[in-house]
Amino acid sequence: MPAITKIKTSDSFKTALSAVRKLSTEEKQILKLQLFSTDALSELKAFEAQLKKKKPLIKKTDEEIVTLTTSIRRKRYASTKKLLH
Amino acid sequence: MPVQKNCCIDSCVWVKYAGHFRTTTLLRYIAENNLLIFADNYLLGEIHEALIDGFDFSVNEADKIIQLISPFIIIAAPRNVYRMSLDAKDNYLYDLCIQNNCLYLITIDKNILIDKTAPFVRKTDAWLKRRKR
Repeated sequence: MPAITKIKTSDSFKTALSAVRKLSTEEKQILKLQLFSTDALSELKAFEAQLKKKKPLIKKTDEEIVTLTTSIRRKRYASTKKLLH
Repeated sequence: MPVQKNCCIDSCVWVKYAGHFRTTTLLRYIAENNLLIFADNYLLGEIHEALIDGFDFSVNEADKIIQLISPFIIIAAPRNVYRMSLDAKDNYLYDLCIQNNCLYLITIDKNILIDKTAPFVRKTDAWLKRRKR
């Protein structure tokens, strides 16, 4: 089935809408990626290029990044646990 | 059309690429490997916080990164079920993978990579880079 169907009337719009509603989460995501990923990717690329110009690059090794995310996860886990008990 | 495989990417991998302004590269690897990415708000929150704390991103910049990666992710909130990961704080990540039938977890966390009890394949971003289809 082609990803994009030309919608000419409100009837065909309703048909397309009901077909989309029947798709699984994964199928909806594939459709979404086919339709919008190029635009979303170029927007992300432009934003990161802008950030690169604006900010100095902070280089971190994999170990440093894992230490950073681990400490955040540990802190969040502890506070969630505290809330639940 | 190639079959898409479900996959979860750990926050440390997202932070590694976003912090070095290379998120588009990560998304390209994902697309080349035909992977469907699952995440939840908890994981996105970790990425957000790590970018601010570790890479001096402003709140607005971190918000924008999360907003821009969201279209590439299926947001699914898992229930707390799994209790057997090596570190209890990682249980939610295991739940995210298991409950969304993820075949792979991409991580650079050695403690997760060595966990042989995990019911999914654990791989690094280097594997993602090497492997094409």
